[in-house]
Amino acid sequence: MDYIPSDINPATGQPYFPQQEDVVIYTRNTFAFKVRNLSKSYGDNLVLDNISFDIPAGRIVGLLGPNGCGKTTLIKILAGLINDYTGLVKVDGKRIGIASKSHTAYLPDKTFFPGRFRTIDCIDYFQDFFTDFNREKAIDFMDRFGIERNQRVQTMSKGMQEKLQLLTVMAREADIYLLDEPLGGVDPAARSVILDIIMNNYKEDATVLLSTHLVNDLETSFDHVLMLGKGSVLVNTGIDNLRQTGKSVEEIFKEVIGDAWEVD
Amino acid sequence: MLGKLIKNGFKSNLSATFTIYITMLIMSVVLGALILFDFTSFGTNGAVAALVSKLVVSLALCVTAIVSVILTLVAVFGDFTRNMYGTEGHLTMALPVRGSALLLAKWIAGALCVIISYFVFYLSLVFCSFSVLTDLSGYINAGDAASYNVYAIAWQFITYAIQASGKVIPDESIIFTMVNLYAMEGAIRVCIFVLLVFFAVTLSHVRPFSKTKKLGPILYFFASFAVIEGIAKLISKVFNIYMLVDANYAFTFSMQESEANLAWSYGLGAYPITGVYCSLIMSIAVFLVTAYLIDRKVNVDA
Repeated sequence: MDYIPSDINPATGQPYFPQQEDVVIYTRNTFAFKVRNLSKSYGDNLVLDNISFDIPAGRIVGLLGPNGCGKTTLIKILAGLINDYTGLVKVDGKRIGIASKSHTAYLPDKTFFPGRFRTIDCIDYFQDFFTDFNREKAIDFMDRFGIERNQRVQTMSKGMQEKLQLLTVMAREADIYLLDEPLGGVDPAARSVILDIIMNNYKEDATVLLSTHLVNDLETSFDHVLMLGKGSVLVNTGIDNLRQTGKSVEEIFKEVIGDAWEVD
Repeated sequence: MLGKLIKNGFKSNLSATFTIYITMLIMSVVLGALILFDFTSFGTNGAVAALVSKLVVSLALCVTAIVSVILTLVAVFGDFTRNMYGTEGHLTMALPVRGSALLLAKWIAGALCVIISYFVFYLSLVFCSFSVLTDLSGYINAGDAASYNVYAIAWQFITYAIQASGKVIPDESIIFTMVNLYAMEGAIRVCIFVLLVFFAVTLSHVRPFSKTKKLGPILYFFASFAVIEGIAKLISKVFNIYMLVDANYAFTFSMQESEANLAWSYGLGAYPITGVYCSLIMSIAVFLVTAYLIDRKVNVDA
């Protein structure tokens, strides 16, 4: 088993290892993400500094970290939107490319549908290009959100556009979901609805990598936590390991990220 | 998958120009009605009003045709930039397709839209000139069969001018073939132009070339255009091939410029093929480089 230990948690000084049963259960190609010596900089700004980590498949992974720590960059690399990095990145056992993209559902923190599209065009577009897209599910979501089928994207509010994106992405039956701040621009009332849609509609055994600042709202949903800061992986462990410390994810987040936050 | 990408590319480009094409169609119908309707029954005032109306509509149609070409170019290049490297790139670049497929689809859809806009532009010019010529030749009512001879009259003027300069007018079939060859060259040059802009936009999203910001695409376009045209010119000087066309549609090839000049003086056609086809071959290399950049180097930074 080629599994490397994750980075040291600066808060405890202890390395996080996967639990022994994980190592036994997960055999070859059971890692959703395999990252080795990944570095990425924007000019002189080194965002990801030689990071390595593995994340087992079938988990709901919370990607946490302060602003500018490289969460979005990491997700964009995994989705195949950023290509000028160094290091090895594998998603679902495959290098980034057509094979990985066809199994990965990506929700960015930006609105990506063209303004001229009607809602139904967005559904048709996903159906055209993603074989794992479930049209009926998407239309059911649309009805639940009260989105009209002929409404143009450019006439929707930003929140509505985000909902439309979320419903099309979650209507895919993908192996990997990369969700970048899905609750970022959403009002608190809609947050629980969106969270419900995410948690109840991803494919069984799929891996969900979800970046967020709202640790408190989501910590009960995570199986696994990946914390980034100062260009490094600060924490990479299962939620059970974290709970053994007797602290909540938010407390550990504040504790671990504290130093990184000050630096940033 | 390629077909779906092309379909989406077309939809995207045409959505921006659809309204202007409809406007041009309406203008053409109005102009057609003005040409065909006999205004002389309304007396001199009616004829003058018809003449002024025709000139105004013709002018408006010409201006709209120019605007439609500009709008098409803006739509094609704007759509490429936004759709590949803008916020829409988060969707496009995450599709499970190769960069070459994305680029080819954008290229086919973009180049065809530009060619269509040029075609519509020329068609409008011909229509407007027809409208003006019917008046200049004194035939207000073009319903009269004689009015269609205005082009014959115009052509006669041109032939007199050519003959006066001591040259021979080629046979009709040769003119037709040459027009086709030059039209094909025009289409090829449009394709190369569109691809070079796509290449320039792509390069401006690759580090370290992205440092030039918004000026980048313009700089890279002119630089790549100068390189390709420079090489093509150089090769043409050393190794130019002429396609000699005769009235029986028989093609022969010659590398002698003197033979090409001789062909013209004997009323045959001589078409230089080296330059444009060199550019076309080099544009294939540009396509491969651009596809590689999309797959391996480009970043969606929006």
